[in-house]
Amino acid sequence: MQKNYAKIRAAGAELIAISSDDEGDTKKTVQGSGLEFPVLADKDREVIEAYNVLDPGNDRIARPASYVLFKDGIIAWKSIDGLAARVPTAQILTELGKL
Amino acid sequence: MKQMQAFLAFALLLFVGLNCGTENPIEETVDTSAVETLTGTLRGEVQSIDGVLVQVRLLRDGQLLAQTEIQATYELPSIESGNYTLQISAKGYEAKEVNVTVTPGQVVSLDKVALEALETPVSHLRGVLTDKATGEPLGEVNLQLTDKAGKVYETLTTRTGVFTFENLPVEQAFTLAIAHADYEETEVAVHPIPAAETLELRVQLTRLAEPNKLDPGRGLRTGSQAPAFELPDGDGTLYALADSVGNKNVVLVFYRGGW
Repeated sequence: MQKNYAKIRAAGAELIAISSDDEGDTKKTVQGSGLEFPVLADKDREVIEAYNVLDPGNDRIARPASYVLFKDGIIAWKSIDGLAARVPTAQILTELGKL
Repeated sequence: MKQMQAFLAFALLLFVGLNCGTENPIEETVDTSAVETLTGTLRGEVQSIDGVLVQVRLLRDGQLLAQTEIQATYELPSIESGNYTLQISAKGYEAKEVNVTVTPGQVVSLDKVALEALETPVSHLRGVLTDKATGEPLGEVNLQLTDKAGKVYETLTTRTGVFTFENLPVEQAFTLAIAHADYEETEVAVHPIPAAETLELRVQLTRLAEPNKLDPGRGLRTGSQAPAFELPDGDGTLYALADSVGNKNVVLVFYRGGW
């Protein structure tokens, strides 16, 4: 994801990642992968639930999902993955190009 | 709530109040030893009129709560304690109103009411209210009929969707308005009804499209507002969506994490 961050920034967008990990695990993820964008800890899954992306097979975690928001916070595009944990960066960039 | 049909002054026949000291009407005590109840029952009798059904309406603070169509006797059980007005009317007969107080666990028996024939010509409206798609009758729905002078008549449909407005002015057009939370607001123009006649109406309501429910785990709809949030990052620094939104497009990525 880190290598795509530059492309997303270049497209004029901010990237935010969220999981149900606690702050400690989130810190390990950030340090282990050298991530430079905000990676947030939603351990109570409040935001995950608010965005309706709780994994139906495991209600303790988010399923892989991406949202692209307009500057006013309206959802422009979304991608809800199946089991594949890949973030569809190419598609996100295509969508950002349309905004 | 708008006031219903106006009644002549002497229509106030009886005043029944169990809380009114010594002038209590006939009252019975229901056996409430098993359960202490917070409701009471109203019952009474109307001098029967050949072939004419009598409408009994229960109102509280001008709001129509219940309605029943009877031959001669009525009984309204499970009425919350309080002050009510009972309206008794029939086609071609003058309506009468009775004020009554319902107390918990009591049966209030009202005096027999005799309705007198009206001398002025009147007309009537009767109909059935159904769901347009299913044809099912719609019961307990409030209907308001307004005449050109702005006078409002009100009724509730029966369980079988039947509604009745009796003793309407003749040679007058009306608007029938039906409000139901699950259906489109509907207004029907009613042409003037000749004296002594009953206009039969069939009214259908169109159910409102239900807002589509979100499939669990399938995300939010595009075009909707992204919910605001504030979460800590790995160092405990709070980060709000509002920090980015407003200046930039935001890509929000949810990942499974290392659970």
